[in-house]
Amino acid sequence: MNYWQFRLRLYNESLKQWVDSIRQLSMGLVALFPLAIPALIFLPFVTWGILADAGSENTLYLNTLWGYLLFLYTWMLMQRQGILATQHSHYLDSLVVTNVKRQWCETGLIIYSANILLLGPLCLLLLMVYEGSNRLLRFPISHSVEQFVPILGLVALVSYYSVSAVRVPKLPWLSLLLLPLVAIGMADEFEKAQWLVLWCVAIIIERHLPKPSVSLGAWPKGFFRLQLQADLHNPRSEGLRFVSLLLMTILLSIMYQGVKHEAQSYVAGFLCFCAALLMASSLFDSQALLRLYHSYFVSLPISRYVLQSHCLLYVAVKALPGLLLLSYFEVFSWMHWGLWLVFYVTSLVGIFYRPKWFFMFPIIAAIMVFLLLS
Amino acid sequence: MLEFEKVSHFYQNRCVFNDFSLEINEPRVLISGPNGSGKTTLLMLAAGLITPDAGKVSFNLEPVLTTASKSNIGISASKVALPGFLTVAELLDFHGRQFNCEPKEHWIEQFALKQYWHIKVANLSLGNYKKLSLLIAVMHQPKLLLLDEPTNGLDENARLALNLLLSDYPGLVIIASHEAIAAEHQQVRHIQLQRSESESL
Repeated sequence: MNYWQFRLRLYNESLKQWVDSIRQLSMGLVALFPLAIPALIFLPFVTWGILADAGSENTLYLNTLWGYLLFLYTWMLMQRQGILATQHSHYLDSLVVTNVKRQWCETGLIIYSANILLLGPLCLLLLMVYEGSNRLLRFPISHSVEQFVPILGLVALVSYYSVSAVRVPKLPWLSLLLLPLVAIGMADEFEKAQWLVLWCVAIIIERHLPKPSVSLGAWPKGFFRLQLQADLHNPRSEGLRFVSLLLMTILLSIMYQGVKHEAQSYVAGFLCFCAALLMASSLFDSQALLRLYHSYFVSLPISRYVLQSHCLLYVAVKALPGLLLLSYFEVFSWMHWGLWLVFYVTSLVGIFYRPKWFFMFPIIAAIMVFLLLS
Repeated sequence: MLEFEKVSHFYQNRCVFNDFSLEINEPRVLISGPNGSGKTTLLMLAAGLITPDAGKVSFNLEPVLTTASKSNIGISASKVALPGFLTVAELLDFHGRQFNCEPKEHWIEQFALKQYWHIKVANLSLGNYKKLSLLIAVMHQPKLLLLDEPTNGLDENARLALNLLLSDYPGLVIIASHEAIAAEHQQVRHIQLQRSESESL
């Protein structure tokens, strides 16, 4: 086994552990949306069509680009430990392998793990260049630039985020969160090329700004602080949940704008169901924390009831940023907010009493609501 | 008085205690025995952290499994994992709030923990983790103090500090250890546990 095969093996092992850990959630998703899985596979092909088309609407283009990059970045971030083999870093350091070889192996693993998300746009660019090569000479240069800018920008950004998710410890809070949030509200103010330049400027700025540090100070205290510190110590789970919510909201708000007025309410209803489920799943983390330090918590003079009440309260407080995000996209009416609350509470009850089949509770609630409304 | 009344406890198919009864009145008890004889399990049962499969454990006539009894019990054991994501200061503050008490400055100095105040518990060395675990166990001055291998990883100064702490501790102290700790105390009862012969139910 050579060095490359060894690194690939470490990566595959890490991926296997990760897949095992999300099996419970994925089983729920497959059970809930069996038809959505094949649709998800074709989603990248649809997005490439929008992102490579110079004539696509600016709002649609920016929304799609944001969703695509956010998905890619999260996907790579989740595989970071496996690509860098951080669990075995001391052993790898002890090997007689040159830095260049190590870097090449890691780059190979980045391309391998980014897979279709990185190679797809690259192939599309090559195809467009090959097919349009004769037109490049016939039309003015400005026309060619206009045609190729969207796909070139996509390839550049996709390459950057694939690498930065693995090698840059700073999170792209400016380029992948603040800028797109602002950009969508004023999408038609600039051309696509200008937006792409702005995106690159945001990346350069965030690279030079100091890493934002989170210091809790003296507040909160007690059990809330304990739970908050647990989340800050291991932000992967909560971060992933927020990004998933963001992605889902972006996708469904694109769909919301694209469908007829009569169908919009159903799209919003679907979003409130999925969002409630996702936000309530935060209770899984709290329950896991209680299980992990079971002996210590049992040794405290707090009853199980009080402990669980603290957990529920903390999870409810954690839902607030998600609610702000949902309200920012202005998709929900008062009825949808009410539905969200029903699905959220039933999901919490499900996780609390039947964690393995928690999704049955909001489904039953959804069926009852559907029957009542019809 | 700590009382085990016809206690039985099993780990999967292995019997650790079967119809076990014991009364402890002495202020200092040293439990010894070979690996796997149930020393730690005995302490966990006494602290009410695990529920026996049969029988009852009570301290001063109150069942140890009740929430109220936790105020009277303190335990330091490697099986009681402390939240590693909190700093030493945060954990002591959290723990103090639950028991409505504060750690005594004297003990913090004796165990030399002040310099690790803002270090995360997960990043402490084995010895410093043990010192913190001991401090957590005694800070609310429990009437029943349970220590599992308390000298593991401790340096000479910390061992002296621990001996000093135990020598005039007002409550009942039960230690599971291979070493003769607190031996200078006048009334030390030795309990020797034997590894159960029956490996299956």
